[in-house]
Amino acid sequence: MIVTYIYSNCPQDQIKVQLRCRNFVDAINRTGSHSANLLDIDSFIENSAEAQKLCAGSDIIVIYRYLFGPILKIIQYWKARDKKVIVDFDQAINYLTPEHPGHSFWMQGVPPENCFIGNKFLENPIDPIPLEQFKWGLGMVDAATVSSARLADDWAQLTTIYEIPNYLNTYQYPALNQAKENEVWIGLGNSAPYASFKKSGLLAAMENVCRKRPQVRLILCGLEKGLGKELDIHPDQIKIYPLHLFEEWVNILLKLDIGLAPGIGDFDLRLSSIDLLEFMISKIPWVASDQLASHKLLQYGRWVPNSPEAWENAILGIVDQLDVSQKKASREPFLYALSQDVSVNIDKVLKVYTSIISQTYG
Amino acid sequence: MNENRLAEALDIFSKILVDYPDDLETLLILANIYLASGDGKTAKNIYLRAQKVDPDNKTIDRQIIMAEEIAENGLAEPTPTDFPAVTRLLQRLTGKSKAIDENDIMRAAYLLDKIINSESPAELVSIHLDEIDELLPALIELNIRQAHADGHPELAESLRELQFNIDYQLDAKDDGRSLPELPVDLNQPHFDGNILLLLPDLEKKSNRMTLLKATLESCGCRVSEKDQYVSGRGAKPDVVITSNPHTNPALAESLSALSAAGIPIILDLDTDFEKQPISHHEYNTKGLGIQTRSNAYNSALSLASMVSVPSEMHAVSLKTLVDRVSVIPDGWSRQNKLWNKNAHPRSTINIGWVGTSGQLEDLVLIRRFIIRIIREFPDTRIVVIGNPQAYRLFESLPENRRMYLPVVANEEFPYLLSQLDILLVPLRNLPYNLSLPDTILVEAGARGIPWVASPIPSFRHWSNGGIISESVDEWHLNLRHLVMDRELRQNLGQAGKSAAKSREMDQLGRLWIEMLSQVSNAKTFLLQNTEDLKVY
Repeated sequence: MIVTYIYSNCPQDQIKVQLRCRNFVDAINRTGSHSANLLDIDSFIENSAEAQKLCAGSDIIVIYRYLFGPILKIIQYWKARDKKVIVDFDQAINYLTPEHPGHSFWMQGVPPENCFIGNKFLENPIDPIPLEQFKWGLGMVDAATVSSARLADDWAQLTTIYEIPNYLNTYQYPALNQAKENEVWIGLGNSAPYASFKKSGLLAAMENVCRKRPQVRLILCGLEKGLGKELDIHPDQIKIYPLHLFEEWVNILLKLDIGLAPGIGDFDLRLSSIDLLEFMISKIPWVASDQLASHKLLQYGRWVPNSPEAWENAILGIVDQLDVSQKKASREPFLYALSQDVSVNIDKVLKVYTSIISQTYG
Repeated sequence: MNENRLAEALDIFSKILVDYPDDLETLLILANIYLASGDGKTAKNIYLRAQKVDPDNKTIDRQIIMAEEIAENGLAEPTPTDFPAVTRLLQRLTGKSKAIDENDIMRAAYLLDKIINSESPAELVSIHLDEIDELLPALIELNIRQAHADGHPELAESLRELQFNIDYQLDAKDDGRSLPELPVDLNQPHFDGNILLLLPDLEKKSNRMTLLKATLESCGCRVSEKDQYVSGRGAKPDVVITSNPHTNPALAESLSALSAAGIPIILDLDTDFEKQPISHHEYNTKGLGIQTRSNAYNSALSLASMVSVPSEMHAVSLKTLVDRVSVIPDGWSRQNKLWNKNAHPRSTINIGWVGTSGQLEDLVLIRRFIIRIIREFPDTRIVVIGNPQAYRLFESLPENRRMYLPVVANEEFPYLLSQLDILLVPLRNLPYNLSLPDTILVEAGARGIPWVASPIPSFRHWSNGGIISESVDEWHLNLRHLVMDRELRQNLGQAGKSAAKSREMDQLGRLWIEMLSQVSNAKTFLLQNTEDLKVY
């Protein structure tokens, strides 16, 4: 089987592109019996010579997340030529609120800045809004793959949906907890929206934790530096990293001592468990909102209700017994994370693709 | 008909009318079917019977007028409910190319009798193998009649299907054979000169011009394309075809230069721009509302040796302005494999509307009927192509019961159509709409998609492969019939497909070449059996 992944050029998408496209390409190519390609979305839209070559030779074309404007036309082009075309998405774009970064794009049609998702073909604002066009696109594609079961339930009426969870490319996480003198670094997972950090009570809890434990440092990634001024935390205790590349994220992740996964509201409920898996493969003890609780991961971390007190107690408990927690994190949770390696699970992914390729109804 | 068995349904309707000759509903259904098959005279006779039963029914009055309009030269069926009449009706509806000759049936009966009573039937079969082959449809027809006479309608129906399949395959075989074997030198019209396609925008060529260029080239013509002609620069063409030149007023200069050089100009107009309403989506880019475009349009008309249009109504209205107008309809090209490609299987009946075939207001006319049908039949879905505003008209329907498809390149248009099971072409009774060509119905036919359409002149004239809705109220009834009756859909689709062969570009290319020859006074050999070029 030959699979071609169409990935977004948007800098802010690159970490997710790693998880939803690049990891699968690596794993498929490692099988030796199947192969996979990556093609940027602009080339796909322009139907460049490379796009022609790759797509014409593919059994299945997987478009990451974006279904709107010229992408819909090119889908028709390839479907007319008997290619199976599917979309892969990992966000509940229908539950975005104004606090979420993608809201202005999906809900208001404002093309993202510094982004090249076929921008040269787009009007500003995009009309109809991309969310509406996404729904059209679901009617055109042969199927969709999503990263969580709830996403699958939400969209099942518009196309055939398969769940393909986020898997880890485990070799990308060397699990070297780098020395940081006497500091305790506590940070959020990469998927956690900043809005959830505030609404879940975690921000208030961290303000207290930082006050009570001066060695604690709050690590916030993918945010503007100026944000720290809004928080009631001593500036020395906040580190903010605006990052785009996956490698940059992993570099931060491996420095964390404690991981946090706040979750509140419909959007968060539909996120995958990748943040927790990344903590686990990095042997980082973690605390998560019980809203996100998944029975598979129940035993590998601390689950708390969304209240400042609950978060604070749980975090202080780990800070005060960090060695014990870290030793625990390096056993079962780490082993479970290893089982979630993309190469270990690539057969499941290929099975889904095989099923789509052989499905009769388009 | 609800159970998708047209032959059986016709048989039942006929029998009802034998027993209950004044059953109004059955009279109207049978008359409508005769009308759909193109037999206006028989349809009219049945409508007249229905009118006696319900003299105040205005719909019957309208149907009678329509039946009169499409009445052919032949005779009406004396007894429209008898078996031979119903058989002929069925043959017309199912798109069979020709009825089985009664003489063939007599020959088949004689041969069969001879074989049955022969002492060595195998030997006789062997001797008459070619004749049996020739008489195969007649032999099956004979058996169908026998099965009916013996009271075995299921057997008759099975044989009828076999007959259709054989007929279809013979038809397909004929198609494959006849076109490539046309003797090039004697039968093909030809044109030896250089043809210049002078186009307003080389990047955005109309489908008509794209197909024309490829077709002329395949006929051996030398064709070049330009968006500008400067006298003395480059080779001098023998004939120029210019398409909608007013949409790029700068072309007026080129046309003047060509005219001054004595080069005949064929002005091809896609649509009746003079009647194009301001609300039309192309009015701002192609309409005559701007002085420069209007002037360019008038000057192109005055410089043209011939004006060609795809619609007869358009030609008639142009006749008051120019001396020579010809109608060359739009077509499709079998070189595009997507026309003949099987549609992807699906579990829904997709009822479609194409944004380029009309305007939003046209769709609004029948919106309520579509919504009613979608709600009534859970396996249906509305598919809107190329007009997001039109798609929003159906927001009250669940998301999985509606689908939007964007407009794609001309090459992929057959694929878009392949996603439809029924095409709707509603058009308001406006001068512009009345002047539109039958292009969309021909394309639906080429894809084998049945249609329901408004009664504009070009649609009436084409009539193949679909149903005309005479009044707004008929849309629901006609659409409902098509949704419920799979066989009717298939039969109409087949009829449309068969008729659309006459609009394949190989056929239309001859018309173009004939016209090129006429304007350039070149020596031309005309093919006798092609559609004649109509010059007004």
